[in-house]
Amino acid sequence: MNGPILLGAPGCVTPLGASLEESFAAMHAGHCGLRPEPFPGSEAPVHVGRCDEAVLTGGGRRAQRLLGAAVRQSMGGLARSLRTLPRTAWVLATTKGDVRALEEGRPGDAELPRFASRAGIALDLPGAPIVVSNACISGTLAIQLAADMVRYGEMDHVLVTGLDEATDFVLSGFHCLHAIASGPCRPFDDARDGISLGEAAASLVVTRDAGLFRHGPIATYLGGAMGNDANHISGPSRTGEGLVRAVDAALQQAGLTAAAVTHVNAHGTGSVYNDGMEHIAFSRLGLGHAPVNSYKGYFGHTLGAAGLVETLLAVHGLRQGLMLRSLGATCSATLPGIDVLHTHRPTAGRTLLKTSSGFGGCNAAILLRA
Amino acid sequence: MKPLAHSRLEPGVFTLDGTPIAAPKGTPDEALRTCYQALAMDYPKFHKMDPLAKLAVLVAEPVLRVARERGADLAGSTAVLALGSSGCLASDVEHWRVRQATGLASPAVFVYTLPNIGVGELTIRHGMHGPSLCLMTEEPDTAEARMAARLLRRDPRVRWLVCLWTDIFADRFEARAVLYGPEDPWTDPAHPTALFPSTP
Repeated sequence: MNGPILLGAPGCVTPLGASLEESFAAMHAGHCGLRPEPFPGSEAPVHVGRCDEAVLTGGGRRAQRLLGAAVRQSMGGLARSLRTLPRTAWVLATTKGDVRALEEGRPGDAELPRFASRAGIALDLPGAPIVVSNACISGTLAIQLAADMVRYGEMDHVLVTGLDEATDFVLSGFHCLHAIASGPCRPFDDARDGISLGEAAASLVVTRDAGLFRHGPIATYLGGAMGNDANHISGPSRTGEGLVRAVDAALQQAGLTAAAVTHVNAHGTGSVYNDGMEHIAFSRLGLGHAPVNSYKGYFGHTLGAAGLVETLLAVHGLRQGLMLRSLGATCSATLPGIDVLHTHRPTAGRTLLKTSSGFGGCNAAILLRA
Repeated sequence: MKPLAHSRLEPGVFTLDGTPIAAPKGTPDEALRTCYQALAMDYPKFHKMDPLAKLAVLVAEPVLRVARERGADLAGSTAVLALGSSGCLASDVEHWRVRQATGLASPAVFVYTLPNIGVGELTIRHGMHGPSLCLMTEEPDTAEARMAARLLRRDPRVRWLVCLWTDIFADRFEARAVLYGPEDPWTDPAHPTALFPSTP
């Protein structure tokens, strides 16, 4: 089958809602899903975005229930069951999967392939799981991988899912790195001082078959690429090299120039160095004209799920002609040359650049038309 | 389709294209140190790495030396496909042990609690800016892994591809690395029939 590569059948669970629509509506209303909670080993509370337990229906481990809550929304958005379709794959983007199993003394059950296999069987997902675990770019990279599968005829349909929980395992790790913000994180704000962690699950389907979507596609995939900083395992490049290479290659695949990008949904963790790196990279890329935001001020950094859930929310906004403000960013005077969204703004176009960056020095960029 | 070079690292075995480089014995830490010395790497950062990163850097070193000899542009046109089952479980367990024992956590341990960090170390050592994909799979040579390798080769920037299988936890460790060059475009979905050669 020829034709554009389409994204559709979105599903997500975030600290702000049990669906894409609920989450976006809460963000539009200016709500923040980050709540202070005591943290062992820390005198000050930390702000964490947690999903409502009431929406995690079904059986199995909590991670599986979180994933299932998103996947069921995607399945409900399809005109046919993926199980009946040949040449269909399932991708899971995650950094830690069911790491609670390790916390409970069963490290073997925390191995990602084992968790994915169990979840796939329990949720009746198509095919053997393809588990992408590239740190915080996993979600964005999973969309790119799925689109490439379809583009090059390896698969006809791909269910892309992403998941990560906010557990003590990750909270204690980022806390020991002194990476946690003193309050709710403030991406792209001059006073930003760290990240907030959140949790989420999200899913969508990539295909060329528009008829597969009960409510039609939500976006067309234009291009994507990945690039490495080759600089430091836990600190971003000072030149934005890997991100520049990723965006350059994504633009090339899409046959676009930077001038065609009308909105950038950035990684924007709220850390001094990450947001500074993105500022440098976007400046180098000539993206100063494109309004930039990050959603992490709304519900935190959802790690392996981040690229996926943030892509869905950005697309949802563009389809309504709207770019949401970067919550927490009140002043970006030290980031000259990029257009940080301090208020919600109508969009002049629908070409989205979504970027993600992660530990290990990895960066991913995808281009979509909503 | 044969790779241009392949290396294997497991208890008692460290070879390049079947030719012994070292005979790693003892605990995983001792065995990996033996391999490091045999390669004469002189790379102090190595000693700060976790077991998974050490394994990835070591097993890739011989094939990347071959790549350099053959004129590969490691900076711009080499992709990495990293595969593993246990991933960073050794560091995960250590991070959690420290957390429970002290109420705190160790930054030096935590930064290795992601499966792709070994690839990150590899890209830093060799200055590799091209794409890298980290997939968690039960086995080294799955249909999904071969598909991922084909897709990485489709990237117009990529002419060289390094595939890694690294698995280390407790007393067991096993690693493979293969180098594929620009000669074969890999557009046939039937190829490759295997990523890693079955023979030593």
